[in-house]
Amino acid sequence: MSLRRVWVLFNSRNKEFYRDPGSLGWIFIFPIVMVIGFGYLFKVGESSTFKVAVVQTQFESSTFEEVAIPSLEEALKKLEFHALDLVIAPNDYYINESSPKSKLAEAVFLKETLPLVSEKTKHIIPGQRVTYVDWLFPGIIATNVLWMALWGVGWVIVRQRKIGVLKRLKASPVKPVEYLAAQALSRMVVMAFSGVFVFALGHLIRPFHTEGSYLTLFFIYMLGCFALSSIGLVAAARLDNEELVNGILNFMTYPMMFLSEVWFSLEGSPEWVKQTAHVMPLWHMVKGMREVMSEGATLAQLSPHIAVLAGIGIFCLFLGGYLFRWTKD
Amino acid sequence: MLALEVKNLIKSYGDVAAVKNISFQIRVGECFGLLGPNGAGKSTTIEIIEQIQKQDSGQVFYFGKPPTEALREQIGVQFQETALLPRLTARECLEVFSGLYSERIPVPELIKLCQLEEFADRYHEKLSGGQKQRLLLAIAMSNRPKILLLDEPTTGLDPQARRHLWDIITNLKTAGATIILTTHYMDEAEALCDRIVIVDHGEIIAEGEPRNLIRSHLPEVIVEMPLSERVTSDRVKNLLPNERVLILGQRLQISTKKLDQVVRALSDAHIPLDGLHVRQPNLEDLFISLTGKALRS
Repeated sequence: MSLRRVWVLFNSRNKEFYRDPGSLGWIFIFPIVMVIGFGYLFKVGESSTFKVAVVQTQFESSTFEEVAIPSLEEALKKLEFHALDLVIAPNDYYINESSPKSKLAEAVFLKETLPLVSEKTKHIIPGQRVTYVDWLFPGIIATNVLWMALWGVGWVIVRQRKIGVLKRLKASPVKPVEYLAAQALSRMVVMAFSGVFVFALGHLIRPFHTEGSYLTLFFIYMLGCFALSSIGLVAAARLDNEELVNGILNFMTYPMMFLSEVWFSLEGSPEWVKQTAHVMPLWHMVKGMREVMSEGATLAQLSPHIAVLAGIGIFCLFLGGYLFRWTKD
Repeated sequence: MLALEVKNLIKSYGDVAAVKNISFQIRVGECFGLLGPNGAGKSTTIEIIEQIQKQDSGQVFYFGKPPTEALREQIGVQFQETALLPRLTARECLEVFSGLYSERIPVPELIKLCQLEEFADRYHEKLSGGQKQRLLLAIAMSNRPKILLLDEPTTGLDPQARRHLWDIITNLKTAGATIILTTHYMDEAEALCDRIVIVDHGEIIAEGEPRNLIRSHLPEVIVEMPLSERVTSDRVKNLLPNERVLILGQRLQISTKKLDQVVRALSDAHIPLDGLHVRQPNLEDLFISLTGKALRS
């Protein structure tokens, strides 16, 4: 393997990327839109009405916004993640002690229901220090990466094969592994910038609580980028049809997005769904980032996620290299 | 010394036989032409030599040896249809491609050699056909190749751009490069090639130096005149029963060794001689006489 050839191809791919206003814009405008949406979400989350779930009982009040949730378990989960401020059950009520708003809601609730309160027993559940928005943020960053890695590597290679760039390279001394490494590396640099950019922008809108080290967070993020880019290499190994690779990438993306707890928790899902999620690199990436941000996980504590992500990345890199053909025939 | 030897090459795509048992040899420093109509098997042959495609059977030897990985360092390739890495200037394309080889001609030298100065800093997507072909030629030369393979380097170019490219290739020849080119332009082969093979339907139908080939297959001169009411094929054929008379579009063509007798016979029969044109046969005529069809049909 010649590092000079990797460097030459890496540079040319970088130039192609930053000279294309479309893809450059997409990488930066898309996260801005997401972060603004995210800011809106945050605002809604911080609204002045108290959100209360009334489970299997009656309760009416003008001070509270009632949220319909049939099961107590689900309501408590939401309370834990600050999506609710109070949960009222027939004989109990629940608050999140780490949420000031929840405590305030309790005070209002107690005042409004003074005559009934003797019948209800107070319970305190240990709250997470993260809100839903904090919980969601790594998911947003990871979704962004999912598209960038799979399309930025997979689709680009297929297009280059289709228009004949790869045929030209085949006639040169370039080895497949050099070309593939250059493609994946160039994309990882873009993803590194984009990740830092989105994180900083999100932080400007609303400072996050990051319990663990930023370096650890960046490491698990980049490892996720590596694993997803390698999957892109496998998808692009032989095809020369952009529509087909588009379909295949979509086919891979959607299950991964739904099963990786990007937007919602899989708590309460059947066991097989949870087990399936554990083979998804995106799940390990999101979970790992959440553990660093909310629990301050160290590299050692992240080792299961690191092992899976590195394993998938290295395996797919070799598989992609093995399956790779410059031209279709 | 042989730069390249092709032995009994066979290649099919499904049921279609593209190359049927082709063999030829190319000496070091020679400019060798593969001629034939579209679909004759020229590009397949050249892509097998370039190791872009695999033959079904047969062998290719480079300087007497079978191909190795290192061969790619020694050949320069210009494809008939190719794309370059997107959004790079002509100069950057040269930097990228020469950066892939261990032996290389400095980029400024390449720019001068192929006369790219005027548009070196323009994106390659914005170049005209002739400029792009010159850039592709410069890329093909960037590794100081021992063998240069050019697949239809002037197809689609205007006459001026073609001449321009011919000049560059002629300079390379003078400098001693071994060049293999495919073309369906007979004048190009005559102008550039020391030796040619004519390929049709995947087979070689003639091989040799262009002038010798023409002289041995077509010792006649060619008389051409426009068809009209008074100049019809039947009338001329009756007048000249011993000569070969062909109709090509709106023109009548007579191949003859006895020019004065033909002109006298036409004149005696009061056939108007306006527009009559006498010329030496060229490769195009050779191709027609070998295959019975025009080259670019």
